[in-house]
Amino acid sequence: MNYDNQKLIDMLAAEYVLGTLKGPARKRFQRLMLTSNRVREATWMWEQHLNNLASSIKSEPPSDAVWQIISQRIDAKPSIEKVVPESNVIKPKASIWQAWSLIATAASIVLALIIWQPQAPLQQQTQQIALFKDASEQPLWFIDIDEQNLSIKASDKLIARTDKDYELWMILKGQDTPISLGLLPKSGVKSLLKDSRFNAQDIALLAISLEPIGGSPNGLPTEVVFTTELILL
Amino acid sequence: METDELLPLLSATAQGNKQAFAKLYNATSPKLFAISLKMLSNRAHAEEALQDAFVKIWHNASEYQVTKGTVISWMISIVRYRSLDSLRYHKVRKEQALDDDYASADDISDLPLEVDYEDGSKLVDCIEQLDEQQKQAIHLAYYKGLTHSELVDHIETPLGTVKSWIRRGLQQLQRCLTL
Repeated sequence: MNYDNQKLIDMLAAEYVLGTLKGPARKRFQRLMLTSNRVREATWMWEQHLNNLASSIKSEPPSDAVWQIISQRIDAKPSIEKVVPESNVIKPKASIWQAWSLIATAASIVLALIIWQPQAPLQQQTQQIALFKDASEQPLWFIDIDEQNLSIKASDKLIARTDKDYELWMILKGQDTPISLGLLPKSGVKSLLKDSRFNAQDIALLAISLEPIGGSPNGLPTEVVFTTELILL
Repeated sequence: METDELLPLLSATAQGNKQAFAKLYNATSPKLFAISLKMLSNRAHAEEALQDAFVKIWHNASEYQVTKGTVISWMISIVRYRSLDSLRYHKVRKEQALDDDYASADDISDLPLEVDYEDGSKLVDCIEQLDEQQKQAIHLAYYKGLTHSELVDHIETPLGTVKSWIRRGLQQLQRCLTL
């Protein structure tokens, strides 16, 4: 499909907003929104237009319990990400370092497991990792996820730009807005506090964007440069 | 609900001000709940979708920007997408368990839809210019979250025709809106 075609983008955006774009096509479009300003802008335009249809719907208050639950949920899940200073980083488990040195092999094994055991129940998958590679398959960042933190190691192969920062994002299934997980290290190891919404079964994709120093100025990825999927072991 | 009123509340919400968030909720939840309820036809599911949407609004308030449209449109989108997910989740669940005691999430007994717009936006003018079938198909998709294949069942029209109505209706809308 030619995603450079503005008319096609407009129609896909319209059907995305309307809700008639569904299944894999809807997921593809959500991924496209991550990487294309034109796609995002077309979607926002249709949202603004079509949501005028809601004016015909007569307001109806929800029960009082709804606010109580929302209030409890936001109190229980603070939204502020906490970046642990590098000097205070708890050293990751030895297995991370071993895995890093053997990551290419590990990734192959993981892929093999996914192919050979597609029906493996999720509850048996206890370890979550992600590996970002460049176009020539060189590893750039290795991420190990535990219950509380994302431990991220920058590869020696990474030639990071000094005038930019690299930001990690997750895209949840069925949602269009990427969620920032924090800035990535340009060298060494960094630990990010895991976002309360980080749930392996909900994540469609992980992405890295190139950002001005300090991170995204508007809460959205400026230029997505790498994407990968979460690997469950 | 004008942006003038909602934008300061959303901005304060983005700073973690829960009082502003409560005001934002009070100002918008009746409309947003009604949108979800119309789509899901089930109060419990609609309230659940509303909860999820407001939790997302709390977390993502700082990601709003004026280029995304008005505050209320941005919030409607969050509620609609969450409601669409809920609608499809419960439909699949219902298909998998026929004895499911959930109230019907795809209750479309109120079809065809009677639509009475409160405001005179350009979209309303443009949509009134569509053929009746195009308008009905777009209404059913927007308000009830019906997919192409569900529209086929309910309008009793072949899939290709339904897709064509929607596509041509949207194209005509776009031409009208950009004039």
